[in-house]
Amino acid sequence: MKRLITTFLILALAIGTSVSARAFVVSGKVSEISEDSGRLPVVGAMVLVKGSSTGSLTDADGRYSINVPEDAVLLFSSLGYEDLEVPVAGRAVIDVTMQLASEQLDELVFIGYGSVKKSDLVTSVASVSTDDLKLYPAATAAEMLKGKAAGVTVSMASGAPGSVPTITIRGSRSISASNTPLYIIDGSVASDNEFAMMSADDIASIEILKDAASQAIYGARASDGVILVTTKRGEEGQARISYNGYAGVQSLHRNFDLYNGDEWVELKKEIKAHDSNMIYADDVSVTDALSDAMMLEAYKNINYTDWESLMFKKAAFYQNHELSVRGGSDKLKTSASVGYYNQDGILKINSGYERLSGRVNIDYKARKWLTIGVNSSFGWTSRDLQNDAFYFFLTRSPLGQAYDADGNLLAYIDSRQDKNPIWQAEHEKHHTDATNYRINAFAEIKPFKGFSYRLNASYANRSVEEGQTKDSKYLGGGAVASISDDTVENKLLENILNYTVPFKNDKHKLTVTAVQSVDSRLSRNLVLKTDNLPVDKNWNFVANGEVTEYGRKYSINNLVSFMGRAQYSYDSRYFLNVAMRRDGSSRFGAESKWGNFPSAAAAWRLDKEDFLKDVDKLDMLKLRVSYGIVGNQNGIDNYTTLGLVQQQEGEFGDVYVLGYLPGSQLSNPNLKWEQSATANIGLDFGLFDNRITGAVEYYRTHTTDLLVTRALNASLGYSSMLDNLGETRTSGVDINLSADIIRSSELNLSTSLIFTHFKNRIVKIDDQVDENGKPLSQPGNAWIIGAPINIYYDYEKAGIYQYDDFEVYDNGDGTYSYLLYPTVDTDGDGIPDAELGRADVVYPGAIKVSDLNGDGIINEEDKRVYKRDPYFTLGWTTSLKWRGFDMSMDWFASVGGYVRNPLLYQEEYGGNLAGTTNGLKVDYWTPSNPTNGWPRPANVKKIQYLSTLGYQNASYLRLRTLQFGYSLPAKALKTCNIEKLRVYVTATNLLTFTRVLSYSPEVMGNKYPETRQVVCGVNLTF
Amino acid sequence: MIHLARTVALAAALFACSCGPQEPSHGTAFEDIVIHKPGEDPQDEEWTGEAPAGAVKAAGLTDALLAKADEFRKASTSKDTRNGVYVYSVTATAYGTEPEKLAARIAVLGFRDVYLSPGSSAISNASQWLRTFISSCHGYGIDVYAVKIADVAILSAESKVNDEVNSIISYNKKVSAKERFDGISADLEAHTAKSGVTVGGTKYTWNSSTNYGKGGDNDMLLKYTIDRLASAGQLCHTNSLKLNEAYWYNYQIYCDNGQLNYGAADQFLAHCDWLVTMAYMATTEAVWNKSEPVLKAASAKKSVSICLKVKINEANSDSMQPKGWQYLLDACKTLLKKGQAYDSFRGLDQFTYEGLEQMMNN
Repeated sequence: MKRLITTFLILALAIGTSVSARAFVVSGKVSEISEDSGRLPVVGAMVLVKGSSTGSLTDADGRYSINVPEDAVLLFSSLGYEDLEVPVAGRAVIDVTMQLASEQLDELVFIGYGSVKKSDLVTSVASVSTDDLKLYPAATAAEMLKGKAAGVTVSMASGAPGSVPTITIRGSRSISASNTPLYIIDGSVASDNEFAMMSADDIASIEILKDAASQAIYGARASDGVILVTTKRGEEGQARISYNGYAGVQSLHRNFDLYNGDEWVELKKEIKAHDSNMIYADDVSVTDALSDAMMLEAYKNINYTDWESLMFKKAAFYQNHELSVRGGSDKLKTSASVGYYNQDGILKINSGYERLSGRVNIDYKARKWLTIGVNSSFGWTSRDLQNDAFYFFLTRSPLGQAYDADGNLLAYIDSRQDKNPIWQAEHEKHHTDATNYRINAFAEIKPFKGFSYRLNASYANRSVEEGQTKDSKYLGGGAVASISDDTVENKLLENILNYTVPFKNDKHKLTVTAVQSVDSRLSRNLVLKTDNLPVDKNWNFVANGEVTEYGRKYSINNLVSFMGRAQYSYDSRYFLNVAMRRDGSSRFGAESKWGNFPSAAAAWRLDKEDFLKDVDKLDMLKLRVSYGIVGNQNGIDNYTTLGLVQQQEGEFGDVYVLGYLPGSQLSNPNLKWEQSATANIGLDFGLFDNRITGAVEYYRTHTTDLLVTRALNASLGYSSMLDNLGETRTSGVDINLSADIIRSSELNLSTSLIFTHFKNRIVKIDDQVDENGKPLSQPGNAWIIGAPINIYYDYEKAGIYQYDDFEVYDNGDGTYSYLLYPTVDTDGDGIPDAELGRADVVYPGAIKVSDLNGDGIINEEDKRVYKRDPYFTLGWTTSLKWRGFDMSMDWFASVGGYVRNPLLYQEEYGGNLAGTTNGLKVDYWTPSNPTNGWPRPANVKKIQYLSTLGYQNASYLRLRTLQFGYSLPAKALKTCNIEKLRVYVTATNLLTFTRVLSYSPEVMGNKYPETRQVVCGVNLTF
Repeated sequence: MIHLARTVALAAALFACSCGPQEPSHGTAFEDIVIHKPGEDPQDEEWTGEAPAGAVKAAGLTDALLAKADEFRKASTSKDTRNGVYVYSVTATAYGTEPEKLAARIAVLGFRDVYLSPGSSAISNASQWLRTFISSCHGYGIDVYAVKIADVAILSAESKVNDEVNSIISYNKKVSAKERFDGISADLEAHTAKSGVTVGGTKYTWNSSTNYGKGGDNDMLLKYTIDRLASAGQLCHTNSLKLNEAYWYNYQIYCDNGQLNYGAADQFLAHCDWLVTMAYMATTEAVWNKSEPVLKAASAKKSVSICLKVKINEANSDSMQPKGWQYLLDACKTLLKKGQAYDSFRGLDQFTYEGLEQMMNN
């Protein structure tokens, strides 16, 4: 207001004052740089000679002209922009670029049932803008979130088209229930699948509620974090039509080799030599090594098969198109969009994903006090699935044959009758079609100033049909089909009251929110499986076969909630939020039907205190503290607390009767949500005219009442009971930093860092204790007291046994005996007097295992914890803009943690060095090449402790995105009535530094591989 | 501060990452290692013909008995042979509080293998007596083998054979290295089945008078025996255990006569590390006559032991005990000399320690 008055006064003075003597005319143009539209004129800006009343206004093109003394200083000002002083210094033309005032940059952040200015935020909320998201051209917004918000971990289970990534917020807390966050799209509870169906261009912002104080308003479902998605709405003014699209190619890159034909034969010879107690593989004939006529023939003819090129494309096409229209009047505002995404699989057969999505948001101001509207969305996806055939290219022998001499596809690739994966893929189809729609209608009444009542009614429906068929030629169980229909319906009714209490002293601000909601979720499933199908058609002919399985599932859960929240601030300096949610869930036991979830948060703007307000480089410094309690009901199925019955067939003479008996699990009427209490402390800051901004947060979470299956005495008639027994602790640090390193009219360079670190540990699993009363671990489940939640629990490879470890004796018949040197000191005299005890044969080339407890025996007590979560992750985004050109790059680093790479140890994926399959090429031990990395291959002699080979440091550094763009000048576009036209090229996953042997450190090699991508795109706005 | 340093170190490590597997350090190649010559047993270097150091005192024998033990050791041992003795639970009970003494006495007698049957509960419970005894034996360079797979009733059940092996593997996992069994001493002798009764789940009966002949019942039962030993052998060898088998000399003789397809020493030795020829005869000549065909037939070096029966039971006619101590010493000397003419000869075993001790005391 003050700025407005100042501007008005300056303007009035300028208009009423004549120009002084010794006129020296200065002219120029005043403009701003818009991220969307490039350089734009600032209309009506005041240009004033400092210290005088001489002034002028800019015209519709931002031009001005003014008479000034030669040594004058010009003062440029306009509402909403930072004031600017420019010395004339004898110049006749002065063009300036004005910056938006910082208050304008202080955008709104959605916090659930309302929004606040970012500067007034009290709780821990990470906000991600669409522009940040869209840098990475992915199928889902979830993938785009990676590295964009501190505390948010996005992991891909598979690179298959249509895969939905997993998001966890501040790590795991539950050991048995899922750690999936709660998704809220435009106020309605949604699923990760619905989020995955969204077109990124429809998203206005994504807010991630990270601490319990921000999550508590969502109560019993919020302990794993809340992702709030707000979609774009129409704005007053001329309709803007935008098209954003890109098309590109995906390709594979791997950092490992497979054995080629010759190397595979060498491997087979080595295996044969080892199994036959021979030293040198050269003494083994190829015939003996292969023991397979077809393969031998292929070897003689050097007719090797490159399975990778047979099964994978060199390049797979994908494209994305998004078209939107947004605009409206003061009464009616609309936003409509449609998006289409199509991704060919990199796998040649049975792989691909297609998505069509649409959204219409309408706001209609029916009366001055009444706004009604609707948010509606639609999505359709179609996905071909490959049933895990992708890893066969790793494991099929290069000597196997896919085709015969006439080019006909073979069923078996060798004499041993290993199946041809291409044959199998050709005779199997697996497909899903999903449709998704949501209608969210609302009415908002504002009968008097400060008060609003909003009624939300939402209905969402998601249906998935999954069909699968294996025709009669499919090897190992063909002529079968199945079809499964799943439908999930969500209904929500919400009453929301908001009241901003008026105070005479405008330093006081108090907003009170009250919410009552009823949420209902229904899921149903129908499945039919048949065999002996008379026709080789798809699953739509499932009814023609003989029924082998049919089933129907139907379940409902309801949640009734009440929530109250008060947000108070004094002088925009002191802030206090308190909230309480009360949830009643049908999933909870009869004795624990209702849960209360309180929270409190406070913030202090230190920069507004006297002791800091003179620090001119400090724009903002805010200290936040919060504490809250939230729940996780994910681990309880809909009817678990009621006790489930079990189907039981009874035989009475010749009559079979289907009856029901109590199940083996005893119902627990006290069963309730898992509960997390989190304390959070954060510091937000802005420095140097907000060129450097950021936040540092530390949190601690104590999760109790974790759901664990407790064993019961069989005499009770039940074997187990689900109970709230476990306990974990989590702590971590989130840091985000942004810097506008260069901020000028033509050149802008900005960078941001997102740092995430968390650690957790299991405190208690169940009520089992040792003789000292300490909680017991469950190694079988990899739940170890004191260890992190996500771990592998296994032995540790100490190397490979070498000849140097043994006394070697010649048996005189071409074989040798190996006597292990003592390495264990049993009598404590410092001299090893016993060999390390192992329950398997130890020989040169065997895997050496660490005796971690030093007792001279390798047993369960020598297993160690391999932490799976990284020690920290780092996202680093840098963008550079110069005139119309722009460049962005996005790096992501994950440091610490382990992966267990199946390609290095699992037989199924060729990792067992047994020669039954091909596999990842390693430098294995041989008598002539005694390496210390991998053991001597063997088949009959099974290699023991194979899994220890799989552990790899999961650290990696990846250039996720590199983008170059060019925006055509606004002036040139204006003649074509185009507001913005930008073209760009983006490459993803271009560089990766890692020791993880795979196609990607994020997706293991036994999963559908993640690809590199290069796309060309265009952003066009009319 | 520590966290910061750790973070920086981790970041530095990350940026030092390279693609591909780490280059491992190498050991010594086969062509560059020192190999002991054929027949040179790991423990042979220590063989002096004398009682192991410390055993004499620990054995607690009178001078007279110690002299007898020396006589026996000198008569029955040599540098190139290994002798074994069967120890049953009756002896374990007799030395209930003195397992160390028993081990020492066995060592003084020159034995280097013990075939031990301490009772199943001792193994399943990993009894302290058992652990101490094995540990003491190992201290004298004596290997200890569990007498298992001794019931022909399990001839048709591979799983039961495996269960018996697994019971030893399980025991070994419970105890320290020096307390572990070195292997299993099987006693799967089809000919000991009750005549006229089908053997352990098979449809065959053993009859030494009527059921020989290729493809006959006896032949098929021996095929079962070899199959079971094959399974046991694989399991043993996979788990670092040796396997020896009590072998009836007539199997080889009937194979040589063409009356059996199955039962030859080499067929057993395909799965066993050595055979203990149960040459239960009262005279030296008879023992040798029954053992020599087996020694001749076995192609593997040090793969056949000759076992003398020194225990007295209801069939005293096949025991040497009645002939006295001196006869036994002479028999040992003779058999040792004759046996050493064959590469396959491993040594002289005694059935049982209890019987041997009785002979010493008499």
